[in-house]
Amino acid sequence: MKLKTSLGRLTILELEQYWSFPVFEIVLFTALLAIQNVASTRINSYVRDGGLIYLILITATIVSRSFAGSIGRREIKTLLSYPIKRWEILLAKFITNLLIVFGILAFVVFLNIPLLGLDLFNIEIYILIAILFIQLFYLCTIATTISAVVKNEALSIFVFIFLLFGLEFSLGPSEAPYKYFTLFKGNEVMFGYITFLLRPPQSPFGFVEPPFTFQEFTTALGYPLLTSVILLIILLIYFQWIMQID
Amino acid sequence: MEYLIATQGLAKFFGNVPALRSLNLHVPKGISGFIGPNGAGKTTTINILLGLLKPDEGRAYVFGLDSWHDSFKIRKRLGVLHEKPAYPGNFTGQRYLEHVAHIYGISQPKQRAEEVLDEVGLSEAKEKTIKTYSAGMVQRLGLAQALIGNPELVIVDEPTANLDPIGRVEFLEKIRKLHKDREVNFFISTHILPELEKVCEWVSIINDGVIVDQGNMDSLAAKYSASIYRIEVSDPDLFATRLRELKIVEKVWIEGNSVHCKVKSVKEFYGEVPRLAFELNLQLKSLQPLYCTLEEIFKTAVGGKQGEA
Repeated sequence: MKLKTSLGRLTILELEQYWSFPVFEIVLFTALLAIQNVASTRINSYVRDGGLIYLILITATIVSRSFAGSIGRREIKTLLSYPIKRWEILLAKFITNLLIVFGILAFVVFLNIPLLGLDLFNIEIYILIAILFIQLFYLCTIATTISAVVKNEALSIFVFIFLLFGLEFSLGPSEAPYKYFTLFKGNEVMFGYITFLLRPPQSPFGFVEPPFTFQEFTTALGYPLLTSVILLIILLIYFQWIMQID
Repeated sequence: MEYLIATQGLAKFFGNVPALRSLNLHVPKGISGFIGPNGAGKTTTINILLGLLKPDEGRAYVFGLDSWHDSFKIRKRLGVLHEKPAYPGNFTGQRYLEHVAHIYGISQPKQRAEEVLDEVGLSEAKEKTIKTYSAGMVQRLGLAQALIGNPELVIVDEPTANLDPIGRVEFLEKIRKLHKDREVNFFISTHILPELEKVCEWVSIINDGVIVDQGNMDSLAAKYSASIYRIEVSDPDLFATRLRELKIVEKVWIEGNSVHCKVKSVKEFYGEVPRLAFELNLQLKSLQPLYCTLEEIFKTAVGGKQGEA
Protein backbone atom coordinates (compact mmCIF):
# COMPACT_ATOMS: atom_id res chain seq x y z
CA MET A 1 0.00 0.00 0.00
CA LYS A 2 1.62 3.25 -1.14
CA LEU A 3 1.22 6.14 1.25
CA LYS A 4 1.13 9.67 -0.07
CA THR A 5 1.99 12.54 2.23
CA SER A 6 -0.75 13.12 4.76
CA LEU A 7 -0.07 16.83 5.25
CA GLY A 8 -2.92 18.00 3.02
CA ARG A 9 -5.40 15.52 4.49
CA LEU A 10 -4.39 16.42 8.03
CA THR A 11 -4.77 20.13 7.29
CA ILE A 12 -8.30 19.50 5.95
CA LEU A 13 -9.09 17.44 9.04
CA GLU A 14 -7.81 20.21 11.30
CA LEU A 15 -9.75 22.89 9.41
CA GLU A 16 -12.97 20.87 9.61
CA GLN A 17 -12.53 20.62 13.37
CA TYR A 18 -12.82 24.41 13.61
CA TRP A 19 -16.51 24.23 12.79
CA SER A 20 -16.94 23.27 16.43
CA PHE A 21 -15.01 26.30 17.62
CA PRO A 22 -17.11 28.83 19.58
CA VAL A 23 -18.21 30.99 16.68
CA PHE A 24 -20.19 33.36 18.87
CA GLU A 25 -17.10 34.37 20.85
CA ILE A 26 -15.20 35.10 17.64
CA VAL A 27 -18.02 37.24 16.28
CA LEU A 28 -18.16 39.12 19.58
CA PHE A 29 -14.42 39.63 19.48
CA THR A 30 -14.63 40.86 15.92
CA ALA A 31 -17.41 43.29 16.81
CA LEU A 32 -15.35 44.68 19.71
CA LEU A 33 -12.43 45.35 17.41
CA ALA A 34 -14.70 46.95 14.85
CA ILE A 35 -16.29 49.31 17.38
CA GLN A 36 -12.91 50.26 18.72
CA ASN A 37 -11.60 51.02 15.28
CA VAL A 38 -14.32 53.53 14.52
CA ALA A 39 -12.41 55.96 16.71
CA SER A 40 -9.23 55.38 14.73
CA THR A 41 -8.08 57.58 11.95
CA ARG A 42 -5.76 55.24 10.12
CA ILE A 43 -6.18 51.57 9.29
CA ASN A 44 -2.97 50.43 11.04
CA SER A 45 -3.75 52.29 14.24
CA TYR A 46 -5.98 49.54 15.59
CA VAL A 47 -2.81 47.66 16.50
CA ARG A 48 -1.52 50.63 18.47
CA ASP A 49 -4.97 51.38 19.90
CA GLY A 50 -5.21 48.04 21.63
CA GLY A 51 -5.86 45.50 18.88
CA LEU A 52 -2.56 43.97 19.88
CA ILE A 53 -4.19 42.62 23.03
CA TYR A 54 -6.75 40.75 20.93
CA LEU A 55 -4.07 39.55 18.56
CA ILE A 56 -2.15 37.93 21.40
CA LEU A 57 -5.25 36.59 23.13
CA ILE A 58 -6.77 34.97 20.08
CA THR A 59 -3.46 33.43 19.00
CA ALA A 60 -2.94 32.07 22.51
CA THR A 61 -6.45 30.60 22.61
CA ILE A 62 -6.49 29.04 19.17
CA VAL A 63 -2.97 27.63 19.14
CA SER A 64 -3.09 26.29 22.69
CA ARG A 65 -6.49 24.73 22.12
CA SER A 66 -5.34 23.10 18.93
CA PHE A 67 -1.94 21.90 20.09
CA ALA A 68 -1.66 21.59 23.87
CA GLY A 69 -5.42 20.88 24.00
CA SER A 70 -5.10 17.94 21.63
CA ILE A 71 -2.39 16.49 23.87
CA GLY A 72 -4.61 16.92 26.94
CA ARG A 73 -7.66 15.46 25.18
CA ARG A 74 -5.50 12.54 23.92
CA GLU A 75 -6.44 13.30 20.32
CA ILE A 76 -2.79 13.55 19.41
CA LYS A 77 -2.18 10.01 20.65
CA THR A 78 -4.77 8.76 18.20
CA LEU A 79 -3.21 10.78 15.38
CA LEU A 80 0.29 9.57 16.25
CA SER A 81 -0.93 5.98 16.06
CA TYR A 82 -1.75 6.38 12.37
CA PRO A 83 0.93 6.09 9.69
CA ILE A 84 1.64 9.81 9.73
CA LYS A 85 5.04 11.36 10.17
CA ARG A 86 5.19 13.49 13.28
CA TRP A 87 6.34 16.59 11.43
CA GLU A 88 3.22 16.34 9.25
CA ILE A 89 0.99 16.60 12.32
CA LEU A 90 2.97 19.58 13.59
CA LEU A 91 2.92 21.41 10.27
CA ALA A 92 -0.77 20.64 9.63
CA LYS A 93 -1.71 22.09 12.99
CA PHE A 94 0.61 25.06 12.53
CA ILE A 95 -0.71 25.91 9.04
CA THR A 96 -4.32 25.53 10.16
CA ASN A 97 -3.86 27.75 13.20
CA LEU A 98 -2.06 30.39 11.16
CA LEU A 99 -4.80 30.36 8.54
CA ILE A 100 -7.59 30.57 11.13
CA VAL A 101 -6.05 33.42 13.13
CA PHE A 102 -5.06 35.25 9.97
CA GLY A 103 -8.54 34.74 8.50
CA ILE A 104 -10.17 36.27 11.58
CA LEU A 105 -7.84 39.25 11.61
CA ALA A 106 -8.11 39.83 7.88
CA PHE A 107 -11.88 39.76 8.36
CA VAL A 108 -11.58 42.40 11.09
CA VAL A 109 -9.44 44.60 8.87
CA PHE A 110 -11.87 44.34 5.96
CA LEU A 111 -14.80 44.98 8.29
CA ASN A 112 -13.13 48.26 9.17
CA ILE A 113 -12.88 49.45 5.59
CA PRO A 114 -16.47 50.75 5.39
CA LEU A 115 -16.37 51.88 9.03
CA LEU A 116 -13.36 54.08 8.33
CA GLY A 117 -14.67 55.17 4.96
CA LEU A 118 -11.60 53.79 3.20
CA ASP A 119 -11.29 52.74 -0.38
CA LEU A 120 -11.05 48.97 -0.95
CA PHE A 121 -8.08 49.59 -3.24
CA ASN A 122 -6.18 51.55 -0.62
CA ILE A 123 -2.68 50.05 -0.61
CA GLU A 124 -2.32 50.61 3.15
CA ILE A 125 -4.89 47.88 3.80
CA TYR A 126 -2.83 45.29 1.99
CA ILE A 127 0.43 46.44 3.54
CA LEU A 128 -1.14 46.05 6.95
CA ILE A 129 -2.43 42.57 6.11
CA ALA A 130 1.03 41.49 4.95
CA ILE A 131 2.63 42.84 8.14
CA LEU A 132 -0.04 41.16 10.24
CA PHE A 133 0.71 37.88 8.53
CA ILE A 134 4.41 38.15 9.42
CA GLN A 135 3.56 39.03 13.02
CA LEU A 136 1.02 36.21 13.27
CA PHE A 137 3.58 33.78 11.89
CA TYR A 138 5.89 34.90 14.70
CA LEU A 139 3.15 34.64 17.34
CA CYS A 140 1.96 31.23 16.12
CA THR A 141 5.50 29.84 16.21
CA ILE A 142 6.03 31.00 19.79
CA ALA A 143 2.59 29.75 20.88
CA THR A 144 3.17 26.34 19.24
CA THR A 145 6.60 26.03 20.89
CA ILE A 146 5.13 26.82 24.31
CA SER A 147 2.26 24.37 23.73
CA ALA A 148 4.65 21.57 22.73
CA VAL A 149 6.80 22.12 25.80
CA VAL A 150 4.06 22.80 28.37
CA LYS A 151 1.53 20.25 26.97
CA ASN A 152 -1.27 21.85 28.99
CA GLU A 153 -3.89 24.08 27.37
CA ALA A 154 -4.56 26.53 30.19
CA LEU A 155 -0.94 26.78 31.25
CA SER A 156 0.32 27.38 27.72
CA ILE A 157 -2.22 30.21 27.25
CA PHE A 158 -0.99 31.77 30.48
CA VAL A 159 2.72 31.36 29.65
CA PHE A 160 2.25 32.75 26.14
CA ILE A 161 0.32 35.82 27.30
CA PHE A 162 2.76 36.41 30.15
CA LEU A 163 5.76 36.12 27.81
CA LEU A 164 4.36 38.28 25.01
CA PHE A 165 3.08 41.07 27.21
CA GLY A 166 6.32 40.83 29.19
CA LEU A 167 8.31 41.35 25.99
CA GLU A 168 6.09 44.24 24.91
CA PHE A 169 6.34 46.06 28.22
CA SER A 170 10.00 45.36 28.93
CA LEU A 171 11.41 45.97 25.43
CA GLY A 172 8.96 48.70 24.40
CA PRO A 173 10.60 51.57 26.34
CA SER A 174 14.18 50.32 25.65
CA GLU A 175 16.70 51.62 23.12
CA ALA A 176 17.09 50.55 19.51
CA PRO A 177 17.34 47.86 18.26
CA TYR A 178 15.50 46.10 21.12
CA LYS A 179 12.36 48.22 20.91
CA TYR A 180 11.89 47.05 17.32
CA PHE A 181 11.50 43.49 18.59
CA THR A 182 8.09 44.38 19.99
CA LEU A 183 4.91 43.83 17.98
CA PHE A 184 3.77 47.38 18.71
CA LYS A 185 6.90 49.18 17.48
CA GLY A 186 7.68 46.59 14.82
CA ASN A 187 4.30 47.08 13.21
CA GLU A 188 4.73 50.85 13.25
CA VAL A 189 8.22 50.70 11.68
CA MET A 190 7.30 48.20 8.96
CA PHE A 191 4.07 50.01 8.09
CA GLY A 192 5.66 53.47 8.16
CA TYR A 193 8.67 52.46 6.05
CA ILE A 194 6.73 50.56 3.37
CA THR A 195 4.00 53.17 2.96
CA PHE A 196 6.67 55.86 2.71
CA LEU A 197 8.43 53.93 -0.06
CA LEU A 198 5.23 53.32 -1.96
CA ARG A 199 3.74 56.75 -1.46
CA PRO A 200 6.52 59.26 -0.70
CA PRO A 201 4.98 62.49 0.57
CA GLN A 202 5.40 65.53 -1.67
CA SER A 203 7.19 68.51 -0.12
CA PRO A 204 7.85 71.95 -1.54
CA PHE A 205 11.27 71.81 0.20
CA GLY A 206 12.48 68.81 -1.82
CA PHE A 207 13.67 65.51 -0.31
CA VAL A 208 11.67 64.16 2.64
CA GLU A 209 13.39 61.94 5.16
CA PRO A 210 11.66 58.56 5.63
CA PRO A 211 10.15 58.13 9.13
CA PHE A 212 12.42 55.14 9.77
CA THR A 213 15.81 54.08 8.43
CA PHE A 214 16.42 50.98 6.33
CA GLN A 215 18.30 49.44 9.24
CA GLU A 216 15.32 49.98 11.55
CA PHE A 217 13.05 48.44 8.95
CA THR A 218 15.25 45.33 8.49
CA THR A 219 15.46 44.92 12.26
CA ALA A 220 11.69 45.15 12.64
CA LEU A 221 11.12 42.73 9.75
CA GLY A 222 14.07 40.41 10.32
CA TYR A 223 13.55 39.75 14.03
CA PRO A 224 10.11 38.08 13.84
CA LEU A 225 10.96 36.25 10.61
CA LEU A 226 14.30 34.92 11.82
CA THR A 227 12.94 34.00 15.25
CA SER A 228 10.00 32.18 13.66
CA VAL A 229 12.13 30.19 11.22
CA ILE A 230 14.66 29.17 13.90
CA LEU A 231 11.91 28.22 16.36
CA LEU A 232 10.04 26.27 13.70
CA ILE A 233 13.16 24.26 12.81
CA ILE A 234 13.84 23.51 16.49
CA LEU A 235 10.17 22.60 16.95
CA LEU A 236 10.19 20.23 13.98
CA ILE A 237 13.34 18.50 15.26
CA TYR A 238 11.91 18.28 18.78
CA PHE A 239 8.52 16.97 17.62
CA GLN A 240 9.93 14.52 15.09
CA TRP A 241 12.73 12.96 17.10
CA ILE A 242 12.58 13.97 20.76
CA MET A 243 9.08 14.66 22.07
CA GLN A 244 7.48 11.83 24.02
CA ILE A 245 3.73 11.48 24.49
CA ASP A 246 2.57 9.68 27.60
CA MET B 1 7.93 -19.50 18.09
CA GLU B 2 7.44 -16.38 15.96
CA TYR B 3 6.50 -13.36 18.02
CA LEU B 4 4.62 -10.29 16.79
CA ILE B 5 5.83 -8.31 19.77
CA ALA B 6 9.04 -8.87 21.71
CA THR B 7 10.82 -6.73 24.24
CA GLN B 8 14.26 -7.21 25.74
CA GLY B 9 15.09 -5.74 29.13
CA LEU B 10 12.75 -2.81 28.57
CA ALA B 11 12.96 -0.07 31.20
CA LYS B 12 11.26 3.30 31.46
CA PHE B 13 11.53 5.86 34.20
CA PHE B 14 9.39 8.92 34.85
CA GLY B 15 11.80 11.03 36.85
CA ASN B 16 13.14 8.61 39.43
CA VAL B 17 10.02 6.46 39.39
CA PRO B 18 10.44 3.24 37.41
CA ALA B 19 7.40 2.44 35.27
CA LEU B 20 9.02 -0.57 33.60
CA ARG B 21 11.95 -2.59 34.97
CA SER B 22 13.63 -5.00 32.57
CA LEU B 23 10.43 -6.06 30.88
CA ASN B 24 10.66 -9.13 28.67
CA LEU B 25 7.37 -9.46 26.83
CA HIS B 26 6.62 -11.98 24.09
CA VAL B 27 3.41 -11.96 22.09
CA PRO B 28 2.70 -14.55 19.39
CA LYS B 29 0.05 -14.44 16.65
CA GLY B 30 -3.57 -14.81 17.78
CA ILE B 31 -5.49 -13.02 20.51
CA SER B 32 -3.24 -12.17 23.41
CA GLY B 33 -4.08 -10.65 26.76
CA PHE B 34 -1.82 -8.23 28.59
CA ILE B 35 -3.05 -8.18 32.15
CA GLY B 36 -1.96 -6.41 35.26
CA PRO B 37 -3.28 -4.17 38.03
CA ASN B 38 -3.68 -0.42 37.54
CA GLY B 39 -0.28 1.25 37.42
CA ALA B 40 1.54 -1.99 36.53
CA GLY B 41 2.98 -0.49 33.34
CA LYS B 42 0.57 -1.73 30.66
CA THR B 43 -0.09 1.63 29.00
CA THR B 44 3.57 2.64 29.23
CA THR B 45 4.51 -0.60 27.45
CA ILE B 46 1.92 0.09 24.73
CA ASN B 47 3.12 3.67 24.34
CA ILE B 48 6.66 2.34 23.82
CA LEU B 49 5.44 -0.23 21.29
CA LEU B 50 3.73 2.57 19.34
CA GLY B 51 6.80 4.79 19.38
CA LEU B 52 5.12 7.41 21.55
CA LEU B 53 7.69 6.91 24.29
CA LYS B 54 11.37 6.10 23.97
CA PRO B 55 12.63 3.34 26.24
CA ASP B 56 15.36 4.33 28.69
CA GLU B 57 16.89 0.86 28.53
CA GLY B 58 16.34 -2.22 26.38
CA ARG B 59 14.55 -2.59 23.07
CA ALA B 60 11.01 -3.23 21.91
CA TYR B 61 10.22 -4.89 18.60
CA VAL B 62 6.94 -5.10 16.72
CA PHE B 63 6.95 -7.28 13.57
CA GLY B 64 10.70 -7.52 14.21
CA LEU B 65 11.10 -3.73 13.78
CA ASP B 66 12.48 -1.39 16.42
CA SER B 67 9.56 0.45 18.03
CA TRP B 68 11.27 3.86 18.29
CA HIS B 69 13.36 3.99 15.10
CA ASP B 70 10.93 2.16 12.79
CA SER B 71 7.72 3.47 14.32
CA PHE B 72 6.31 4.74 11.02
CA LYS B 73 6.78 1.35 9.30
CA ILE B 74 5.17 -0.39 12.27
CA ARG B 75 2.15 1.93 12.28
CA LYS B 76 1.45 1.15 8.62
CA ARG B 77 0.77 -2.46 9.64
CA LEU B 78 -0.92 -1.73 12.95
CA GLY B 79 -4.27 -0.57 14.30
CA VAL B 80 -4.65 0.96 17.76
CA LEU B 81 -7.55 1.54 20.08
CA HIS B 82 -6.35 3.65 22.97
CA GLU B 83 -7.74 3.75 26.48
CA LYS B 84 -10.53 6.37 26.67
CA PRO B 85 -10.08 7.31 23.02
CA ALA B 86 -10.89 10.86 21.86
CA TYR B 87 -12.15 11.64 18.38
CA PRO B 88 -13.31 15.03 17.07
CA GLY B 89 -16.86 15.33 18.32
CA ASN B 90 -18.19 17.47 15.48
CA PHE B 91 -17.37 14.84 12.83
CA THR B 92 -19.79 12.12 11.83
CA GLY B 93 -18.43 8.60 12.26
CA GLN B 94 -18.42 8.18 8.48
CA ARG B 95 -16.54 11.42 7.82
CA TYR B 96 -13.90 10.76 10.45
CA LEU B 97 -13.24 7.27 9.11
CA GLU B 98 -12.96 8.63 5.57
CA HIS B 99 -10.15 10.89 6.79
CA VAL B 100 -8.43 7.95 8.48
CA ALA B 101 -8.81 5.85 5.31
CA HIS B 102 -7.17 8.65 3.32
CA ILE B 103 -4.28 8.68 5.79
CA TYR B 104 -3.80 4.93 5.33
CA GLY B 105 -3.70 5.54 1.57
CA ILE B 106 -6.85 3.52 0.83
CA SER B 107 -8.05 4.07 -2.74
CA GLN B 108 -11.79 4.15 -2.00
CA PRO B 109 -12.02 5.73 1.44
CA LYS B 110 -15.78 6.26 1.50
CA GLN B 111 -16.50 2.67 0.63
CA ARG B 112 -13.92 1.35 3.11
CA ALA B 113 -15.37 3.56 5.88
CA GLU B 114 -18.81 2.11 5.21
CA GLU B 115 -17.41 -1.42 5.27
CA VAL B 116 -15.75 -1.10 8.67
CA LEU B 117 -18.73 0.74 10.15
CA ASP B 118 -20.88 -2.16 9.03
CA GLU B 119 -18.35 -4.62 10.44
CA VAL B 120 -18.50 -3.08 13.93
CA GLY B 121 -22.28 -2.61 13.81
CA LEU B 122 -22.28 1.18 13.56
CA SER B 123 -23.87 1.59 10.12
CA GLU B 124 -27.08 3.14 11.45
CA ALA B 125 -25.18 5.82 13.36
CA LYS B 126 -22.71 6.66 10.62
CA GLU B 127 -24.27 10.07 9.87
CA LYS B 128 -24.56 11.06 13.54
CA THR B 129 -21.87 13.25 15.07
CA ILE B 130 -19.40 11.46 17.33
CA LYS B 131 -20.31 13.66 20.31
CA THR B 132 -23.78 12.05 20.32
CA TYR B 133 -22.35 8.51 20.53
CA SER B 134 -22.67 6.40 23.69
CA ALA B 135 -19.54 4.92 25.33
CA GLY B 136 -20.15 1.62 23.57
CA MET B 137 -20.53 3.34 20.20
CA VAL B 138 -17.31 5.32 20.70
CA GLN B 139 -15.55 2.05 21.50
CA ARG B 140 -16.93 0.48 18.32
CA LEU B 141 -15.85 3.52 16.33
CA GLY B 142 -12.42 3.07 17.91
CA LEU B 143 -12.37 -0.51 16.71
CA ALA B 144 -13.47 0.63 13.23
CA GLN B 145 -10.65 3.19 12.95
CA ALA B 146 -8.18 0.57 14.16
CA LEU B 147 -9.34 -1.88 11.48
CA ILE B 148 -9.65 0.51 8.57
CA GLY B 149 -6.07 0.05 7.31
CA ASN B 150 -6.40 -3.78 7.21
CA PRO B 151 -3.83 -4.20 10.00
CA GLU B 152 -1.99 -7.40 10.84
CA LEU B 153 -2.16 -6.55 14.52
CA VAL B 154 -4.55 -4.43 16.57
CA ILE B 155 -3.39 -3.14 19.95
CA VAL B 156 -6.27 -2.47 22.31
CA ASP B 157 -5.71 -0.67 25.61
CA GLU B 158 -8.36 -1.22 28.31
CA PRO B 159 -11.17 -1.71 25.79
CA THR B 160 -13.87 -2.69 28.24
CA ALA B 161 -13.16 -0.30 31.09
CA ASN B 162 -15.99 2.11 30.18
CA LEU B 163 -18.50 -0.52 29.10
CA ASP B 164 -21.28 -2.23 31.01
CA PRO B 165 -21.08 -6.06 31.38
CA ILE B 166 -23.17 -6.69 28.25
CA GLY B 167 -21.10 -4.19 26.27
CA ARG B 168 -17.91 -5.93 27.41
CA VAL B 169 -19.07 -9.33 26.27
CA GLU B 170 -20.28 -7.95 22.93
CA PHE B 171 -17.02 -6.12 22.34
CA LEU B 172 -14.84 -9.13 23.06
CA GLU B 173 -17.11 -11.34 20.96
CA LYS B 174 -16.57 -8.91 18.08
CA ILE B 175 -12.81 -9.27 18.54
CA ARG B 176 -13.08 -13.05 18.58
CA LYS B 177 -15.13 -13.00 15.36
CA LEU B 178 -12.69 -10.64 13.63
CA HIS B 179 -9.82 -12.92 14.48
CA LYS B 180 -11.70 -15.97 13.27
CA ASP B 181 -13.01 -14.45 10.04
CA ARG B 182 -10.14 -12.17 9.03
CA GLU B 183 -7.19 -13.54 11.00
CA VAL B 184 -6.53 -10.17 12.62
CA ASN B 185 -4.22 -10.55 15.61
CA PHE B 186 -5.14 -8.70 18.80
CA PHE B 187 -3.10 -7.60 21.78
CA ILE B 188 -5.53 -6.64 24.52
CA SER B 189 -4.40 -4.83 27.63
CA THR B 190 -6.81 -4.89 30.52
CA HIS B 191 -7.31 -5.30 34.24
CA ILE B 192 -10.86 -6.63 33.82
CA LEU B 193 -10.31 -10.34 33.47
CA PRO B 194 -13.44 -12.52 33.55
CA GLU B 195 -14.48 -11.90 29.95
CA LEU B 196 -10.95 -11.94 28.58
CA GLU B 197 -10.27 -15.62 29.22
CA LYS B 198 -13.02 -16.53 26.77
CA VAL B 199 -11.15 -14.96 23.85
CA CYS B 200 -7.47 -15.08 24.75
CA GLU B 201 -5.07 -17.73 23.56
CA TRP B 202 -1.98 -16.21 25.16
CA VAL B 203 -1.58 -14.17 28.32
CA SER B 204 1.25 -12.00 29.59
CA ILE B 205 0.98 -10.90 33.21
CA ILE B 206 2.66 -7.67 34.25
CA ASN B 207 3.09 -6.38 37.77
CA ASP B 208 5.18 -3.49 39.04
CA GLY B 209 6.88 -3.03 35.66
CA VAL B 210 7.99 -6.63 35.10
CA ILE B 211 6.47 -9.66 33.39
CA VAL B 212 5.69 -12.11 36.16
CA ASP B 213 4.50 -14.88 33.85
CA GLN B 214 3.39 -15.46 30.27
CA GLY B 215 2.30 -18.34 28.14
CA ASN B 216 -0.72 -19.82 26.43
CA MET B 217 -3.89 -20.06 28.47
CA ASP B 218 -3.88 -23.84 28.73
CA SER B 219 -0.34 -24.12 30.01
CA LEU B 220 -0.86 -21.30 32.52
CA ALA B 221 -4.11 -22.85 33.76
CA ALA B 222 -2.39 -26.22 34.19
CA LYS B 223 0.57 -24.62 35.91
CA TYR B 224 -1.49 -22.69 38.44
CA SER B 225 -4.42 -25.10 38.92
CA ALA B 226 -2.18 -27.79 40.30
CA SER B 227 -1.31 -25.77 43.32
CA ILE B 228 -4.30 -23.56 44.19
CA TYR B 229 -6.81 -24.61 46.79
CA ARG B 230 -9.93 -23.21 48.38
CA ILE B 231 -10.53 -23.99 52.02
CA GLU B 232 -13.75 -23.29 53.88
CA VAL B 233 -13.36 -23.14 57.67
CA SER B 234 -15.36 -21.64 60.51
CA ASP B 235 -12.83 -18.79 61.05
CA PRO B 236 -11.08 -17.95 57.77
CA ASP B 237 -9.03 -15.03 59.14
CA LEU B 238 -7.49 -17.06 61.96
CA PHE B 239 -6.87 -20.01 59.65
CA ALA B 240 -5.24 -17.80 56.99
CA THR B 241 -2.94 -16.23 59.56
CA ARG B 242 -1.67 -19.61 60.73
CA LEU B 243 -1.55 -21.01 57.20
CA ARG B 244 0.89 -18.29 56.16
CA GLU B 245 3.34 -19.56 58.76
CA LEU B 246 3.61 -22.95 57.01
CA LYS B 247 6.63 -23.35 54.75
CA ILE B 248 4.74 -25.50 52.27
CA VAL B 249 2.36 -22.61 51.51
CA GLU B 250 3.52 -19.95 49.07
CA LYS B 251 0.66 -17.44 49.13
CA VAL B 252 -2.53 -17.05 51.08
CA TRP B 253 -5.50 -14.78 50.42
CA ILE B 254 -9.15 -14.55 51.40
CA GLU B 255 -12.04 -14.32 49.00
CA GLY B 256 -15.48 -14.01 50.57
CA ASN B 257 -15.58 -16.57 53.38
CA SER B 258 -12.97 -18.85 51.86
CA VAL B 259 -9.25 -19.05 52.31
CA HIS B 260 -7.32 -19.42 49.06
CA CYS B 261 -3.74 -20.54 48.90
CA LYS B 262 -1.01 -21.57 46.53
CA VAL B 263 1.03 -24.45 47.85
CA LYS B 264 4.52 -25.72 47.16
CA SER B 265 4.03 -29.33 48.25
CA VAL B 266 0.58 -30.79 47.54
CA LYS B 267 1.29 -34.09 49.34
CA GLU B 268 2.16 -32.46 52.66
CA PHE B 269 -0.56 -29.86 52.26
CA TYR B 270 -3.37 -32.47 52.39
CA GLY B 271 -2.07 -33.62 55.76
CA GLU B 272 -1.38 -30.17 57.18
CA VAL B 273 -4.82 -28.58 56.60
CA PRO B 274 -6.88 -30.98 58.77
CA ARG B 275 -4.13 -30.97 61.40
CA LEU B 276 -4.14 -27.16 61.55
CA ALA B 277 -7.94 -26.99 61.69
CA PHE B 278 -7.95 -29.48 64.54
CA GLU B 279 -5.21 -27.59 66.37
CA LEU B 280 -7.15 -24.32 66.11
CA ASN B 281 -10.38 -26.05 67.00
CA LEU B 282 -12.02 -24.91 63.74
CA GLN B 283 -14.58 -26.70 61.66
CA LEU B 284 -13.11 -27.70 58.28
CA LYS B 285 -16.06 -27.54 55.87
CA SER B 286 -14.28 -28.18 52.58
CA LEU B 287 -10.89 -28.40 50.92
CA GLN B 288 -10.79 -28.45 47.15
CA PRO B 289 -8.36 -27.76 44.31
CA LEU B 290 -9.52 -24.94 42.09
CA TYR B 291 -10.19 -24.91 38.43
CA CYS B 292 -7.92 -22.03 37.53
CA THR B 293 -9.64 -19.03 35.95
CA LEU B 294 -7.65 -16.21 34.41
CA GLU B 295 -8.46 -14.12 37.45
CA GLU B 296 -7.02 -16.77 39.73
CA ILE B 297 -3.94 -17.18 37.56
CA PHE B 298 -3.51 -13.42 37.70
CA LYS B 299 -3.97 -13.20 41.45
CA THR B 300 -1.57 -16.00 42.11
CA ALA B 301 1.01 -14.67 39.69
CA VAL B 302 0.99 -11.14 41.10
CA GLY B 303 0.89 -12.38 44.67
CA GLY B 304 -2.82 -12.38 45.46
CA LYS B 305 -2.63 -8.66 46.06
CA GLN B 306 -6.21 -7.87 45.16
CA GLY B 307 -7.84 -10.30 47.52
CA GLU B 308 -5.12 -10.93 49.99
CA ALA B 309 -6.10 -10.53 53.59
